[in-house]
Amino acid sequence: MVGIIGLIIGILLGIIFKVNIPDQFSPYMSVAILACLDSVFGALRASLSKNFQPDIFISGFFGNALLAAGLAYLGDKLGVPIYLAAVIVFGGRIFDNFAIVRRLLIEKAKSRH
Amino acid sequence: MRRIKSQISVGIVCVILGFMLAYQFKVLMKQEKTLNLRSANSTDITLEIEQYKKQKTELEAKVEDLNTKVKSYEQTAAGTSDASKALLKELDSSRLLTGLTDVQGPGVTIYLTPDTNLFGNSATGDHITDKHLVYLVNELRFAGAEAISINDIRIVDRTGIRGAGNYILINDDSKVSYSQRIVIKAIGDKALMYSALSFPEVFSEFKTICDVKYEKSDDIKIGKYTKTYKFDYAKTVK
Repeated sequence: MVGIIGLIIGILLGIIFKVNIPDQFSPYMSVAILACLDSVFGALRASLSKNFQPDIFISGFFGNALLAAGLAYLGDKLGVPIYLAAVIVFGGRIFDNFAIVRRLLIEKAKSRH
Repeated sequence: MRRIKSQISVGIVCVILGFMLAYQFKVLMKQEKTLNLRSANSTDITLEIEQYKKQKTELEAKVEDLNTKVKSYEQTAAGTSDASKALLKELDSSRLLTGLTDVQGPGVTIYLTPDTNLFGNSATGDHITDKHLVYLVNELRFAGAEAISINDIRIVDRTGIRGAGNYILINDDSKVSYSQRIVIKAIGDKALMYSALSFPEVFSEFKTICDVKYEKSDDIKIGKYTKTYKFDYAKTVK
């Protein structure tokens, strides 16, 4: 619940405030967003399976985002598209997490009946 | 207490995520707008080109029309007097000689089909160049060709043929691509020209770069020289 409220506030902030982040950082931003989404899905799964730990979630959130953006930057400088690795790994993990979340939710719904 | 703390931290993290999402979304929207602008520009340009092409054909038709009018004026002006009739005849023949009229007659046609290299354009620069065309034109002239055209561009005595990047320029602005088939037509003594072309080793320089075919024919049409003759520097000696 808190998460959703936070998300809405964040989106509103993003729309209302004009923060100038240079355009050349935009690709790194998108990779970082993917990493953040992965962390959020991981947190969702953990909270459904009741072993959610906020410190792990927050460290993962920022750590993953920074690492992904940093790797993408490094890849750009080296001429190797490392961001693809980030996209594939985080994308795959998002789907994995979603599959587990789905299973947990269905099982929960079944056990209620 | 711990629970509230963790809830707040999760909330803050979600705020950051939401902010990043919204920001990125905005940036991408902006980019899309500029991209659309660019594509609109390119369609505008193609449209403009189409319009110019249309205009060109219209103007050409107009020129044709005016030319026929001029012809009829000349004929009426020549009237019945023998002297003016002779003048008109002289004018027509000089037009024919300078390539200002469409001509037809027997002659030969040469087809130069470039070899398609398996790996695209060869890096060694083995392709038809301006020099090959100049050589062929010279060869045809020597065999008595009276009118020559390359890809329907009339070759007259003021014509220059020169390579320019991916094209060969003829008459200053007409482009011939060396990666496509080049057709050279010549009107003249077809037997003589054919024998000149079938002389051994005439096409030796073409062997590795293109497929050469040539044939005699009885009715070849060659269009007129489309530019205007004008001397800016040369004056008649008095």
